[in-house]
Amino acid sequence: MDKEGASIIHVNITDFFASVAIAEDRSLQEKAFVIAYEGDGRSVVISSSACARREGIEKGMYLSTAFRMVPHLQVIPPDERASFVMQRSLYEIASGYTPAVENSPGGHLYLDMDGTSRLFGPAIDSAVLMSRTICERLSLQPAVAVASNKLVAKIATRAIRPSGITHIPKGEEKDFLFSQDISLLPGLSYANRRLLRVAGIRKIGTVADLDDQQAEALLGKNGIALRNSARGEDLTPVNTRRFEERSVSTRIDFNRGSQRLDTIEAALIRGAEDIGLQLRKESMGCHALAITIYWADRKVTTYTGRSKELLVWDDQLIQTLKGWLDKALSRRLHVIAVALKGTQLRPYIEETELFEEFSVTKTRQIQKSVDLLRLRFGNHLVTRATALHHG
Amino acid sequence: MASRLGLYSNYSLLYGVIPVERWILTCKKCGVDTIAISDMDNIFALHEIMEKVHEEGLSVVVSATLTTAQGRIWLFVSSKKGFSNLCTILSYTSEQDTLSSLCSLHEGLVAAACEYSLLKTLTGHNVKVYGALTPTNFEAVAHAKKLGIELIAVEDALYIEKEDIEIHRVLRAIATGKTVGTLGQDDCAQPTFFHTGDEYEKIFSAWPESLQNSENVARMCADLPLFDSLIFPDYPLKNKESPKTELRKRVYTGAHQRYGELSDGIIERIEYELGIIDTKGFAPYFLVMHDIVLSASRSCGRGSGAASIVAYALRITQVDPIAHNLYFERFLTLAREDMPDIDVDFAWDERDGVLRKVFQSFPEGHCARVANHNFFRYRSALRECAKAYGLSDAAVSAFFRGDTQDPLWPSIVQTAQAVTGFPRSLSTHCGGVVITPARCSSYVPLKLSREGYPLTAWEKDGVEKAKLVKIDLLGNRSLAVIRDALASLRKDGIVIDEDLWDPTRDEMTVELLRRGDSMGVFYIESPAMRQLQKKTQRGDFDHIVIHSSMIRPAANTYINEYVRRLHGGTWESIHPLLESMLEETCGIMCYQEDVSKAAILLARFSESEADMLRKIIAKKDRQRRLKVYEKRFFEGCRKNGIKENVIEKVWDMMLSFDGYSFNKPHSASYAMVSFQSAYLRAHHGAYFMAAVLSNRGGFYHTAAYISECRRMGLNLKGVDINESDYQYTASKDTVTVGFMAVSQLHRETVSRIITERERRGPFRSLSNLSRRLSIGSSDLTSLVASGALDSISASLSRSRQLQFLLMNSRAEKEEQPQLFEKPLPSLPVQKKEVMTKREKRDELLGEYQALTFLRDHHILYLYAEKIMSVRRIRAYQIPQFTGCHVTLIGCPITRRTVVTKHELLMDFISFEDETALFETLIFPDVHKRYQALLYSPHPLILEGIVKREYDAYSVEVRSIRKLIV
Repeated sequence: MDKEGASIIHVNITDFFASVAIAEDRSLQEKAFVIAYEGDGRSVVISSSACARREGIEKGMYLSTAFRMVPHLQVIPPDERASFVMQRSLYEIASGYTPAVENSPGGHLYLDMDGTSRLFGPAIDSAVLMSRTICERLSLQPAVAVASNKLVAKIATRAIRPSGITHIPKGEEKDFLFSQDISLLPGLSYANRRLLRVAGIRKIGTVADLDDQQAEALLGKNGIALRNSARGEDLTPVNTRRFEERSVSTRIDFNRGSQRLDTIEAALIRGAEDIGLQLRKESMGCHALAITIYWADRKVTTYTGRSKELLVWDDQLIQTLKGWLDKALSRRLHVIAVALKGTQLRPYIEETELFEEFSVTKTRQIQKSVDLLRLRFGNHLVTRATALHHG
Repeated sequence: MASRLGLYSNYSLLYGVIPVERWILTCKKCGVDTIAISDMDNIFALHEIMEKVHEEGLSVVVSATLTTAQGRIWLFVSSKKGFSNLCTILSYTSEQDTLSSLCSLHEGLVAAACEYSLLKTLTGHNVKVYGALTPTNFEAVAHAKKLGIELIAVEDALYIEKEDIEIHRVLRAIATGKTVGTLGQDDCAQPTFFHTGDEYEKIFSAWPESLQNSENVARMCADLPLFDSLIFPDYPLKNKESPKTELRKRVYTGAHQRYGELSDGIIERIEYELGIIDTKGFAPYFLVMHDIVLSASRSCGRGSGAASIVAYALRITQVDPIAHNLYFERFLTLAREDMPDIDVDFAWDERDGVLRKVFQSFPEGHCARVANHNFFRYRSALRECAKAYGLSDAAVSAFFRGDTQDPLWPSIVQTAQAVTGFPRSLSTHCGGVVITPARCSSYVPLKLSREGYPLTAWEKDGVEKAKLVKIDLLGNRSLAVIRDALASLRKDGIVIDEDLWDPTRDEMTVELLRRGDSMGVFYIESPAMRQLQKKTQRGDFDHIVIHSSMIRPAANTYINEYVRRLHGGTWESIHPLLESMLEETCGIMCYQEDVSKAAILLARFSESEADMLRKIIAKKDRQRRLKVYEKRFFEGCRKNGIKENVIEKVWDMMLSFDGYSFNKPHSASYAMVSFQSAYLRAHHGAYFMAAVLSNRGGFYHTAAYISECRRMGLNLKGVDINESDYQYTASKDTVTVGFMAVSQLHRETVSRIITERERRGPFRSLSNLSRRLSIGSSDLTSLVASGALDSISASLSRSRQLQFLLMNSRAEKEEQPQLFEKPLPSLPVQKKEVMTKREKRDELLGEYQALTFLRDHHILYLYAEKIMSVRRIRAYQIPQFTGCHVTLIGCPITRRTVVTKHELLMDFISFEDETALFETLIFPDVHKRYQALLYSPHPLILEGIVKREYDAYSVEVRSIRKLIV
């Protein structure tokens, strides 16, 4: 443990989607732009650039209002894929410092640096180093805080947003929190924020000073928990659950967006063949399949279905996926990619049945021969004729 | 005779692709003289088909296609009874499925089907049925032989050209929520094309009897007289008197109440009108209307009906047609065939109740709401087509901004152009209702509205063409304002006898309207209207009637000219024939009837032609038909020896009635409501403004009316736990804010507060309130923030009030009731007098967030420190600075954005400071420069030149700055 006891690092990428967009395209740095799904008048701003914020554009504002305020405002749809890649890169950088990394969506990471001081020195040194690495490798400007627990670290990054580094040594939490604005306290509902405002309570320290009775009276049944938060009490550990459970997956991109059913089906067949081969290579089958559709407006939707039967063979996978495709194609839009993911993997043990139908046995034999060819000469050497439609 | 049966128009919603007109022209070109457009499960297009078919000199068979689980059935109407049966079958009210309905209601209908099961069922029920042969299906040949029935040739055509298939696919994609690429086989129709004469005969040449039967059915069913007499409800009377006698009785009773002793002139007018009403058989209609208006607290009959003394005597309308010289023939003549038009407004909060009562007071199924047909406009068509091709909303928005990179766009645009004008759905007309003597479904097919009312398949013009009498029952906020203000006055012992109340003769009211002090006054409170009042300096009834009609969007030029002439500017009558007609409006056409009258006088139009011209000018899709009338008008005028430039001037003036205008009786009806509300404002300002605020205002938001209260010199009492009701209340010169102004305060909590107050007296202190009522923390927050508890909390700051209440209420639950009030818990005590500036400002900010206005100050008070450093004039000083460059600070109150001739945006924005409202003009160059600031939530610093037009002032803005940077 850090000698001062502050071993939790919180990395917060402010306005994550906008930051990712700038990291992808540096020319956006000085532009007023917002991240939003452009469409009808009800679209709202998801995230905004610093330049747009200076013009008064805020998160949650109607896009139509934002356009009235800045007529030449650039609208960029959230790039789920780039954000996913960026989040994974952040995770990879953080994993270089400690195995105990909690990966929260939206550009948040919590690191438990306990026991790493002999490798990297005090946690604050790791924080500085990591911040620099993130900046250099990913072109993101993070807000990083080191504190004794996740809660204080989170409040600290909120306090220094949009970027910077801060360190709250153990024992100084109360002093740090005392003068912080109440809006920084996580877990406050809209109703409680309004109530505290009218009750004239503006600082976290005022809530921290409440006794149990007062806390419950003012803030209701969650009052004591909120008061404890205001005192910087947080025992939740860094959740190091693996980011992705074991799975097989594939993705088929289209050269141009397509809305033709036969083309999408062809992609599905090719994908099914891919994950089928991966499964059989490891003598596994799967009980769940997710069809992820990447739409032309960069939105992503996923349909996940479960099968009682263990899915191993291409024909099983194809039949199952075709049955679910209708549900997966939930929008009227061009599709730019289809991804398949098989989860709930279970070992597949081939049992020879005494009276197995000849046609089934024959199909399995053909499948095995095809698998051998594919493994030797490449995945797509042999494929179903319908999948060729995809080109 | 050559006929075509079984064509589908685009009224087969999101299925058919050929507009009615295209079918008719195509058929005519191919020598077809009788057509049956058989849309899927509806006859929405019936009136359009009939009108256009007859225009082209063809014949029409009324027809529809029933879709059943077993297949399609084509139905052709061969008699009036058959039409009634078809309407019932197509109605949602039919309790059976369509096939069973047809089996029991087949009289007057000829059916045709291809499937054996259908043919067997129909023959089994003695339905006159044929085995249908279509160009793609001949299976009925065998079935007909088996069942011993005859064959008939049905064209069954959805398309004319190959290109139509793609439009059909797009429509199906829109209907099914899929894309053109993901459509399944069952989602679309098989390609079925229209055939020319020779092709058609060749297809069926093996079964010539089918062609002959097709001709026979066409001959039997063509051009049936279906709508020959007006349809309005019966009015059965208990005493078995005739409706005619009953109406006469009620009219004379009403006239005595209205006029006292009746003069010869009045009796003569009543008899004249009753004579026409009797001859046309409209007595039951008037009696029904009378019953409807009696069921509401007050009403305002509008439309041309306001010209009738009978309607006035029955209190359907409120303007004396004799005193105000209203022209009865605009409403009803013996010669006119169309229906008299009585529209009635009710208080907005009573209208739904009135509608319910109407539906309840007639036998079930005898009333229906009138529908609107919704059509694709270009933008919606483009958006939907793009989605059908799989493009995103963002791509569509980008296209509208000029990004047309996607190669799909040319075909999308082409399809969208084709789809523009296609019907897409039905909705409910805002107030139209039809009442029929028998079940509505026997006159018109009924659908079900979203609100659960039966809905006619036709929109208002269709209903009118079917001779169904439509009445409009509409909601009006100002009637509720007048009702509430009069009720409050009565409560305080001030009774206005409405029978004797004539606000048009009240000097203070006239003066108030002359000044344009009309915020809250019905119809004439908009900035444009108030400016017109100031410019004209006329507040009498006759001028308000003129101004209410003249203030229409397309008439700006004429308004300026009218003002100039009114102030003594020279003018000559546009033509001597129009001189007397336009004398009262200084030679400017003002009312709808001026258009008709001018057409009659100058171009010798007949009355019905002139009326049609008036209607066409008001329509949005008028272009084609207007051209015909334009030609006729110009030719008529030329024959009358009128000079070309005069004809053009008159025609331009007529076109300024584009989509929006009043007839004089309507304008007079509205002006009467304006006068009633203006009278209340002039004499009982507090009561009036409380009623305006309680009914959630009109043109402006609550804060603007609150400021107006202050400008009117009224005292404003903030919301108070012991004094406020739910609504705003008034007493003498004081308006008390109601609990309704407090945001996020539950209505149920307000009811409990008021009940408890009435039961056990006022609340004495915070602990007293806490003991007597258990109020949730959210409601307590709202009450405290609004200042509602200030009066019972000594000098405690609001933050302390809330802390006390929250802690006290919890302690109460846990402990025994105490004899003495509990000591305050141990938070630091915050008294008002020791509050810091920041705390006071936060308190006011909280109040503003809870009420959207401040109880004791103008909103600019919150910006006092910033404002101090700005050198400015106040809005009330504007007239002293005419022509000068001035600086003002203001909050935007309302705006009107317009597009100039050069397609640039400009704004007319009303601002307000602590002293007055002021109007600003923001011309395109300034607008472009400061557009972003115009939507700022904070007050703005405006610099500009003060302009004066007669007695109306405005500021031509040159620059805008933020007050808060």
